[in-house]
Amino acid sequence: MEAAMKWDKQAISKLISLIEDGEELDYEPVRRSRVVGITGPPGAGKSTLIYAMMKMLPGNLKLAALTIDPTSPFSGGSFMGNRIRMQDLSDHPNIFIRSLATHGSRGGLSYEAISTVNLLEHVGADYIFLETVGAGQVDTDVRKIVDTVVVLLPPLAGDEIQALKMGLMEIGDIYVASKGDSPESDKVLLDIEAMLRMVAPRAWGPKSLKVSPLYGQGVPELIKAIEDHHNYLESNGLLTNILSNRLELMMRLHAQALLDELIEKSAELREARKGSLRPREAAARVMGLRGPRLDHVAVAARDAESLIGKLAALGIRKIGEEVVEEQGVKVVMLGLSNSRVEVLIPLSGDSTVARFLERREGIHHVAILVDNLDEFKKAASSVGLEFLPASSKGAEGSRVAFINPRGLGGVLLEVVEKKYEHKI
Amino acid sequence: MRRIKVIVAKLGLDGHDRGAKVIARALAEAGMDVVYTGMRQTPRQVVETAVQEDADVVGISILSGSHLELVKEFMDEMRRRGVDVPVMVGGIIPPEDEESLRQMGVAEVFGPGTPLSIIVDKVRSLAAVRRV
Ligand code: B12
Ligand SMILES: Nc1nc2c(ncn2[C@@H]2O[C@H](COP(=O)(O)OP(=O)(O)OP(=O)(O)O)[C@@H](O)[C@H]2O)c(=O)[nH]1
Ligand SMILES: [Mg+2]
Repeated sequence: MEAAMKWDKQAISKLISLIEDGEELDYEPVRRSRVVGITGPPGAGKSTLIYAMMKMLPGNLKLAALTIDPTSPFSGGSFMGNRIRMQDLSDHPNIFIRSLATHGSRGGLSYEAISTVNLLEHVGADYIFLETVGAGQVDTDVRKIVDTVVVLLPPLAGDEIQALKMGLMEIGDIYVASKGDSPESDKVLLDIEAMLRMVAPRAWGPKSLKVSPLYGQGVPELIKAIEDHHNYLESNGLLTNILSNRLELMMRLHAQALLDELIEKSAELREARKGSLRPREAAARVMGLRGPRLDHVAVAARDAESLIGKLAALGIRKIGEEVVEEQGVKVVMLGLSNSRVEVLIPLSGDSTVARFLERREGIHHVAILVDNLDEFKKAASSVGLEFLPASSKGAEGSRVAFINPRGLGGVLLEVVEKKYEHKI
Repeated sequence: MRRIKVIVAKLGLDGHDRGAKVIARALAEAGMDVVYTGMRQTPRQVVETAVQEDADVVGISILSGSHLELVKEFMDEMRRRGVDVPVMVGGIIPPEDEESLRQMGVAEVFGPGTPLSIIVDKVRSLAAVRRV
């Protein structure tokens, strides 16, 4: 990392490979670059434009280009040709170019790509150009994580432009009619301008212009527009928000990847495919949100403080406490992933927990969550289980019941039904 | 996990790019990430590309006849820059030049008609050695 901070390209390159291998680099992300997303249909001239901008920007600035190519869903490989347009800058000391494939990101931006943007920013790039092929999800994602989105529209027949505009018109800060040397590009520029007049005015009214990087035209104007937009973001305090967006998107992308893996390995997937479990139900179950599941384990110890202290040292920390007067008990809750431990501390000598402790220490009861308490009770009765009279209403509209331990191998089982646990 | 990453490059003024593109496609279809540099590259540009892309293998295609000079210059530049990546050369290479190329440090040489499956396998094994 130290060498990378000095713009040692070998070091930066190795760090990006670590990111691609799924490692987390240890640093605090910062904002210091102008991050520009360049998007548009295949062949619009995106790579050529990045090349022209990099060539025109002052030679003492550190410039990075990150170009994203689609991974073939069939072979898992990719053919990355964006460098072809930028190659004569590849041995420029201040320029770093890297090609990334989309891999498992469902055609959108990958975790690795966003993480690489963060890294390039951290190691001090003045500009980062992110080239993506414009298509649905990628665009909305790019919009969130870069400062300025430049949308390129090549000279095309009217109908094609109409179709393209639908998706692209919401996301751009700067619209560019590319290949401005072609006579049709004037028509594209007029089209863009007409359309921008139709969209609701924003604080930053999107700019539009025409470029012809092959002939060096329009590029200084574009760089100026990018600068203006950056200044607008900066003076409105909008730059740090973009870093937060990146971190959020990375979390979401990783959660989705984990979920995909979970689904892939699950018995629920097979059941859903057979039709023996409804898709909605299968989805919730895969995530542990439905079906009987552990809610908490309640323990009682004579030296509760010492137990709580030791569990905390093991990473099972206090997340709350509650006094339940009618039971004569204080409950200290300790967090487990998706569950918790409850330490029961008697408030008086005649509480049930005090009487339990006279006999022994240990697990007092186990609580499970069920989807429907009434159905569960029916099923329990049908196999001869009995409920203790202490059953009652729990907190926030939840309902609880206790099963007599005599019928359950000595285990006191609390059954909980929670209302509205999840929005969907 | 990162895929095998290969650079396919053309050095010098050689305009024969069909073979290079065929190789690049075949490697991509075999599940690798292939960066194609295009034609008219200087040795330095290709070495810098290998650095920035952190390539596992660099493949160079030369049909112009100037492979001895270009590859020598390229291998010298690799050493100067401290890049330790296996290099393969393909194209029109007379058999008597193969040994000279290997002397310079080239790992493999492939002439016309080499089955693509052999090239794919070779890239896989070179990349595997480098990754360990
Ligand atoms: C097609 C062709 C052309 C086309 C090229 C089209 C294009 N865009 O590629 C055109 C007509 C433009 C052309 C022009 C010329 N050509 Co020409 N051309 C050929 C020809 C007939 C076939 C080449 C080809 O495409 N083969 C098909 C591909 C798939 O095979 P390949 O490139 O050999 O690749 C295979 C292997 O070599 C290997 N490989 C190749 N690259 C790589 C890279 C890696 C990393 C790996 C692992 C493997 C690998 O794997 C491939 C698959 O097996 C050859 C003769 C021949 N039979 O080879 C002459 C030939 C290459 N040309 C030759 C010449 C002289 C020329 C010209 C100078 C002719 C002239 N006087 O105008 C010009 C120069 C153009 C220029 N700017 O460089 C000579 C070269 C002589 C030499 N090296 O000493 C040849 C050998 C003909 C001859 N016998 O004289 N040519
Ligand atoms: N006439 C003209 N052609 C251009 C211009 N800019 C780019 N091109 C050509 O358009 C083609 C595509 O250019 P690229 O820069 O590769 O376009 P891209 O949008 O990056 O393409 P992909 O990455 O494949 O989606 C190339 O042949 C360029 O030479 C221009 O200003 N004028
Ligand atoms: Mg491109």
